[in-house]
Amino acid sequence: MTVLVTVAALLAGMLGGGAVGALAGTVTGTPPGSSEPPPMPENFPEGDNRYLPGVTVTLIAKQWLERANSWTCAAEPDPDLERGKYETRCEAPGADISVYAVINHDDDAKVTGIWVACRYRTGSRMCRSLFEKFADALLQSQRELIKPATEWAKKNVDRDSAAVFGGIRMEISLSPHEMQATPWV
Amino acid sequence: MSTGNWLDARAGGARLSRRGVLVGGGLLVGGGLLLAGCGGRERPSIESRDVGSDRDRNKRRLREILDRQTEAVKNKDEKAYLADLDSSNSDLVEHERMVFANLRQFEFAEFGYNTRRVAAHGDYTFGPVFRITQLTADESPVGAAPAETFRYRLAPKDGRLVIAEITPASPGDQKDALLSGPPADEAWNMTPLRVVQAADNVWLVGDDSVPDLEKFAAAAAAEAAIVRRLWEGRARFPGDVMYLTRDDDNYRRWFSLGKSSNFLPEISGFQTSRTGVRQNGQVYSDQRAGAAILINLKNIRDYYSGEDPRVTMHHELAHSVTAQLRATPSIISDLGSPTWAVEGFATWATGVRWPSEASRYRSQLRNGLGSFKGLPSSKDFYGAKRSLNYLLGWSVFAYIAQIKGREAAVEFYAQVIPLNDTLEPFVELPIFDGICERTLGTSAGAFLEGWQRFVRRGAGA
Amino acid sequence: MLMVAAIVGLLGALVAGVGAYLPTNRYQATATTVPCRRVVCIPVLKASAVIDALKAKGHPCEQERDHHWKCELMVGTLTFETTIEEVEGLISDVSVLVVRPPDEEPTEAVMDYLLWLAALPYTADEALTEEINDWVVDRIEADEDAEAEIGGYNYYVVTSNPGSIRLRVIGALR
Repeated sequence: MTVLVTVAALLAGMLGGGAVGALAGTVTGTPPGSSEPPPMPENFPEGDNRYLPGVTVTLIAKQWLERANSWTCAAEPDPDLERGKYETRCEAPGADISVYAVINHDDDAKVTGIWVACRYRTGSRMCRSLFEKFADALLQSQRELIKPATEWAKKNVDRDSAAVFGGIRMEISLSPHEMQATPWV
Repeated sequence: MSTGNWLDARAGGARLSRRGVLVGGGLLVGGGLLLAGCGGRERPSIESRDVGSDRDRNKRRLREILDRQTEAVKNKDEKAYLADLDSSNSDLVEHERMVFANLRQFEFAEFGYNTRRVAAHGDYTFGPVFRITQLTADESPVGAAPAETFRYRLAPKDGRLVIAEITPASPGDQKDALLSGPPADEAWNMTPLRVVQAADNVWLVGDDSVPDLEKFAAAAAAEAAIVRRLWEGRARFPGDVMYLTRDDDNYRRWFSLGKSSNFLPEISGFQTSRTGVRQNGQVYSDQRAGAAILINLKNIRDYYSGEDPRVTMHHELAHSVTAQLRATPSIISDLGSPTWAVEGFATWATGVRWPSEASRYRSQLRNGLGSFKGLPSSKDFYGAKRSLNYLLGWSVFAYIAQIKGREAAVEFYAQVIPLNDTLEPFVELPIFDGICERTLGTSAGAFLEGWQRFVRRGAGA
Repeated sequence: MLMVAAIVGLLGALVAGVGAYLPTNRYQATATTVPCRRVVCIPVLKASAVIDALKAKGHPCEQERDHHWKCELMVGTLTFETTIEEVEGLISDVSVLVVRPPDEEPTEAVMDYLLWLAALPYTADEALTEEINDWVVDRIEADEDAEAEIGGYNYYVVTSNPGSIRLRVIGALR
C-alpha cells in the first residue's frame, strides 16, 4: 500500500512537474542570438570606399590635364548621378575629339571614378603615353606604386586588362579604347 | 557532412511532431530525458544540395574537357587530347587525331578555348566555343587573338559526358548564335599537313601534294627577309606562314578561299587574314589578328617555268607583312584599305625585287592603258579590268619612288592603308591631301597630276 | 507514509519538471526561427538593427516599400546590395547581391560582406557560423548554384550568372 501510494505520488508528481516544467521551458526559453547583429569584420565594405584613395579633381583636372597638358575642363551640366553628384569633362587642345576624360565626383576629394578615352588606332604612341600618365597622376599620393602601375599601363595599352594598385582598379578596354580608374575593395 | 539528430526531423511536419515528442516525454519520463538531454548536442546541420541545372553542369564539364585538351596540345599528348571524345564515333576520333597531328607541329604563342560567350541549345549542345590559336608568327601587343568558332555537342557515354560532335563555323553561319564568330576554316581542320620552319619565324605548311616542301624553304626565307627589310620597323606580325599545295580542292577549301568574292581558281596566290577574339569573347574587327599566305604551286607552274614560287611569295608577303596596319571593313565603309594601294604596293615591291618584272608591268601598262581616267575604285577592282587596275596601282608607287625615292613610297603606303576606301574618290578626301603633304611634300592635286603625266608618258624608263 | 509519498511525489515533480524544462528550452535554442505572421523570422534580431549597422558603415539604405529595405553601396565597378524583408520588426528574408567584374576573384571585402549577412540567423552560435561560412565559401569557390537547409532556414547561393554572387537566407515555410 505504502509502496503503491508512493509510486502513485511519484507518478502524479512527475506528471504535474513535467507539465509545469515543459510549459516553463516553452514559455521562458530564450531564442538564440541577440537583438544586435554581430560586429562587422575588418574588410566589410564602407561608404568611404566609394572614393578613389588620394585622388582629387584638382589633381587630375587642374594639375595634370589643364596645367601640364593644356586640356580644358568644365562641369558637365547633366551629370550621371549614379556615378556621383558632379561630372567634370576634360577635352584635349586642338578640338581633338579622339581623346577626352570624364571625372565623376561628390566633391573635390571624393572622386568616384575617372575614365580616359583614346580612340586612336592600336599601337599609337598617343594612347600609350596618355594611359601611362593617367596611372602616374592617380598614384601621386602613393608614389611607390607609380612605377609598377605605369609599366602595367604601357604594356597593356592595347589589351583588355585590369590591375589594382593601392585601392585603385585600373582597367583598359581595347574597344572602345579607354582606361578607367575606379575604387576597389 | 554531419547529419546529427536533426536529420530525420528535417521536413516541416516532422519538426512539429518532434516538439510533441519532447513535451510528452517530459510529462512522462522527464528524469530519463534529463540525462538524455545533457548527452545530446542539438545543432542544426547543413544539408547542402547542388541546384545548378544540368545545362550548367554539362557546360562546366565541357570547360573541363577543353582545359584538358589545351594541356594535351601544349604537352603534345595525343592520348589526352582524344580521351574525352566519343570513342564509338570513329569519324570524329580520326578527324580529331588529324587535327591534333596538325596542331602539334605549329608553334603557338597562345592556345586555348574561350567559352565566355557560350550559350546552350538544350542541355548538351554549346557554342560558340572559340579555339584560340595565336601562332608565334601572329603575336601582337593587341589583345585580340586569332580564333575559330565551333559548336560542341556532348553525350553521356559509359557514365560520363564525352564530346559527340564538333561543328566548325563557316563564313555563312553568322546568324546561328551558337556558331557566330570567326569561321573555323584553317587548313589544319581539313587536311593532314606538314610544317617546316624555313627561317626565324618563317613557316611553310604543305599537304600531301607537296612532298617536296623543304625545297621551297630557302626561297620563302629569302623573300620574307627582303619584304621585312623594305617595311623597316613599322608595325607587323612577327612571322609569316605560307600554305603550299598543288591540290585545287584544298586551295579552294582552305580558309574558305573559294568563297571569297575575289577568288579565281587560276590565281597563283592569296593572302588571307585571321580574325581575333577578345578575352570577353567579343570579335575584334578593328584590326587583323594574323595573316597567312596560300600558294597553288600548280597555278605557278602554268605561269612560270620551273614552278618558281618566288614572285608569288614576294607579292603575298608584301600583303601579309603589312597586314597589321591595313584597315578592316567597318560600319562606315566595308571596302577596307584602298585596293589600288594594297595591290599596287605588292606589285611594286615585286618590281623592286626583280627589275625585269617592273619592265614587264611597264610595257603591259603602256599596251593596256586605253581610256585611262584615274585610280580604280575598290568596289570593282577585281572585275574585268583587273589586270589594268593592278598595273595602275603599281604605277602610283613607281612614280613616287621615281620622284621621292623608295622610302617615300613605303611611307606613303603605310599612311594610306590604315584608312578605309570610300565610295566618293578616296584621293579627293582632305585626309589624302594631308598624306601627300606629309610624305611627298606636295598637295594631292599636284601629286595626282604628276602621276597621270607619268602614266601617260609610259610610266618611267 | 503520506509524508514519504508526498516527498517522493514532489521530488518526482521536480525531476520531471526540470527534465521537461531543459530539453524544451534546448529545443527552443535550436528551433532557430520564430513564427511571424504567416512566415518565420530570425528570432530577436531586429531588422532595424541590421539596417542601422549597414547605415553606420555608410551603406545607403532605403525603404523601397512597406517592410522592404534595400541597402546598396556602389564602389566603382562593385555593387554591394542587401534587401531585407521585415515582418513584425524581425527579418523573414535577407538577400545579398554582389556584382563585380566577371574576371575578378571575390575579394576579402566581398567575402566579409557575404559572410556577415549569411551569419545573421545564428549570431550566437560561433561553431555553426563557422560551418555556414565554410559552406558559403565552398559553394562560391565551386562556382555552382547550391541550396541548403540549415536549421529553420533555406540558404541559396547563385553564382551561375557571370559577375554576380547572390546569397539568400529565408525562413523555411512549414
